[in-house]
Amino acid sequence: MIKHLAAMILMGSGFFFLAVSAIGLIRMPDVYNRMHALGKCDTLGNWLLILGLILVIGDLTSAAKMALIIILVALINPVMTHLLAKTSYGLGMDLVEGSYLLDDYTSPKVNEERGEQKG
Amino acid sequence: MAGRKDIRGAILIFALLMGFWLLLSATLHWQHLLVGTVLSLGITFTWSRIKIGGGRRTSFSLKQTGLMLYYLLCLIWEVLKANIMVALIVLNPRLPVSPGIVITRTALKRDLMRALYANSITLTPGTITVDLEDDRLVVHAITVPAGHGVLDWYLSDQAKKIEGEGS
Repeated sequence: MIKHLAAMILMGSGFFFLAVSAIGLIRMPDVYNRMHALGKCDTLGNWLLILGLILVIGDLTSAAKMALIIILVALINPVMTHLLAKTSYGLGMDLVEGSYLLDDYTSPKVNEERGEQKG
Repeated sequence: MAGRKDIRGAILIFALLMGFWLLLSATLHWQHLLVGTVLSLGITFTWSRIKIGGGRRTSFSLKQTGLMLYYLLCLIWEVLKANIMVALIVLNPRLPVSPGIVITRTALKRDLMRALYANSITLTPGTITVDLEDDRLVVHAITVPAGHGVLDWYLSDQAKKIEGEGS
């Protein structure tokens, strides 16, 4: 009984995050922001959903296969998000109005650290 | 060419593959065992000729494994936080985003750790990795605080520690 309740809560929150990712895909203003909603919420949504399924089924073989799916989602999802973002960046897709740019690559903070190492 | 260490490694890989096969097939029927053995031998044989990353051996110490587990636990906690944050932004009627690009440099040296760190950034609060070339890391952040958080993130130090143990 309590197992089914826990599974229900897990799967319910999984559905919630999947729904959030779908809503975010529609509402966000530009490509990169949409990637945020998809890359994160899809991952956790799938994890919670599969954890709930593992609790419901409770069979070692199926659980092993589903754990494998969890690992695959954790590996594939960020890579695909990164690929989509990189492709749009390479094509020069516009950012939304009012975006900021913070360049730490040539910033004084890093240069100071280098100076300390020299002296 | 095939030294004693290679044979030990081959037996280890074969045992791992066989265990995995048994876990997935979940029967001890002789046909399953035969197919599993043939496939595992084939993969082990093929794998012994492949060299990844300039022929350097990937070594694992016990301490490194512990640090890695701690890193993964931190990562799961960060994923939870990230999702709640994105959900709050998406479901807010005013949609409070202030996106931007952050260009930073990573202190990590090994390609594997760099890839792991870049994927961690993608999964965690308000940031996705857009580009990674040598040590130049281009990150897109969804809010201003998230963008500043990338510059001194504690998981970067953690990843550096794991890398330090390995060499």
